[in-house]
Amino acid sequence: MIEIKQVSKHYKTYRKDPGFMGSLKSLWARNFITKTALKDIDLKISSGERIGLLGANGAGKTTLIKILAGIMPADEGTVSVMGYTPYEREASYLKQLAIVMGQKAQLWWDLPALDSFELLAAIYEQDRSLWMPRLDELSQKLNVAHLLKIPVRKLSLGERMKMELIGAFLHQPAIIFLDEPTLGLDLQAQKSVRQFILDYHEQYRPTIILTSHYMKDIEALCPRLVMIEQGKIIYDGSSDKISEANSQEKKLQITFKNPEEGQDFVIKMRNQFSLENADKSESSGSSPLVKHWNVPKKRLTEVMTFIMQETSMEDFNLSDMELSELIEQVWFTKKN
Amino acid sequence: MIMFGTFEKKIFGIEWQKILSYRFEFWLNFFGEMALCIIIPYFLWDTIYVSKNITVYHGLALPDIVSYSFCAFYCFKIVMGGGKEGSISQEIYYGTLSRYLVYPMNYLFMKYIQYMATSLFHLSKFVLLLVLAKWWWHLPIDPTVEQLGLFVLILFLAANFVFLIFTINECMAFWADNVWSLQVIFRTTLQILGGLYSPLLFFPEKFQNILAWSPISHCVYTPVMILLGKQGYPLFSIFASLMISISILFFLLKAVWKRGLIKFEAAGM
Repeated sequence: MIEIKQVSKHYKTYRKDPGFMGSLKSLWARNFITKTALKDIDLKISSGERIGLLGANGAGKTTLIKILAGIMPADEGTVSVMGYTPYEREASYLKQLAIVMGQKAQLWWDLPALDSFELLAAIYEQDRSLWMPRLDELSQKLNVAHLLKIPVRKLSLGERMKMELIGAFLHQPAIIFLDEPTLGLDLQAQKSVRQFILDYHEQYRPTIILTSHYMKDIEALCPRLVMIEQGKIIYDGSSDKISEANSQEKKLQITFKNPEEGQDFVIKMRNQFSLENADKSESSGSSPLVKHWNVPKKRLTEVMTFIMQETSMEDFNLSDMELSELIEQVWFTKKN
Repeated sequence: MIMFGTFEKKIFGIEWQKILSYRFEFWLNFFGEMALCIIIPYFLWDTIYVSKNITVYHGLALPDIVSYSFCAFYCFKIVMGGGKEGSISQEIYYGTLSRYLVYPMNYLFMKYIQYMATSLFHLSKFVLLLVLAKWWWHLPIDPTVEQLGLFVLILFLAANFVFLIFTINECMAFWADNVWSLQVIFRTTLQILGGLYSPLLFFPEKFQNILAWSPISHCVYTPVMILLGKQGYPLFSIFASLMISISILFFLLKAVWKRGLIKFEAAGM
């Protein structure tokens, strides 16, 4: 369905020295540089798959989505989606596509969502007898039927995102790009959005390509993961490894009353449990009073008991690992 | 050519709804503008006529020049699509253009419909205000049906010309990021040489002859003079300059847009 062969993309940008003199100089002579966003990417995605596209900011995942959606052409290589070349932007291709961007509104800000939906139905040349029942169904499922006539700007973030999803799914696309669909939503809204996407996929089987920084999104929605780093695919496989890594460790953060106590405790943790302090450097902006460790879940009880006995800490926090840390871990394990 | 199908009707309707969304802004705009564009020109031109000790200047009496100023203000709004310039370049700059590129529609055609919808809204508003102004201030504006038809036709062509030239300017954002200065230069040129601030009759005759073949002068001055029933430029020069400019700019816009899209990086998406 989606076949990407040896795709590369480069951006041309310029470098400017800081300050007034730098600005003055750049008026006359600009130092142009070429940045490689994607390098020889090969990827195959079958119809109906749910894929998580992961990577740090600037890794190249958004560039890949832009190429697949036909927003920009690839500089090298070939891209084929359902037999179409996306950049040719044929109407018959675009009618099968949908993009939801968590950071950018697609609906008209000043108008009720219903007006936007009617316009979208006209853009996608949807028959009213088809899209009205579909709108009813989607708005009931997301519990926003009563909000369809309220101006979009008056809706909460979660309500707006639900409307965005309806707008994107109304024409029953075959491929859906979801870029951070749960960004900024509260836990309840995140959960309902995830469930809605899953239910929709179960019913209509579209291909879903998701980018997210939330582990819960990835775990719930993507059986397959593609990780991109510096424009290259570094991992393409099951998301189980990420979930596995997530289920093995917890991130422990302790705030000490003074830096000396923190330093002493780093040594104690090393001696007692062979656990290394997970702060990469003191100069990274973190407070010398705050220390982090990645603690195996099976040792959590004894570590916590030890902490209670050995420190007079100010505060502590126990949380799941960040997605970027999990990716790093899986990538590191794969490399070695 | 506008083919009014469902999509065009929706875009048209949404543009009008957007204008009507903000109640306070709407009414302030409706009556405030009307008062300002009659009162200020009245006192300004009255001072000039009194200080020069004249009652008629280049064939225009004080009520004529006030009527000219009133009509010129709204004609400028109509041909400018209500001041829509800047939206395309901003969408290119912020990458929000990508939102439209994934829809199965022609983005520039959508912008054209939006532009024309706003122009038509301002034209309707102008007609209403004209009736009000005639009744309240007794402005000497009594066009015939032919003059009204010609006025609307020239305004329509002028709006097309301005849309095309502004859109080409905005497409420069594919290469230059910020094109605000380019817009300001063209807007100012249109205001001065189009006859927004004063009738082109007041310009030297040689200059007027050159302007007769420039589409810019037919954006405000020509339609207003026709509406006031005054002698303007020959019809042939008006239609020839507008039609030729529109044809050239249409193909130029197509070429610029095609090349620009290749440069588009959808920054910030």
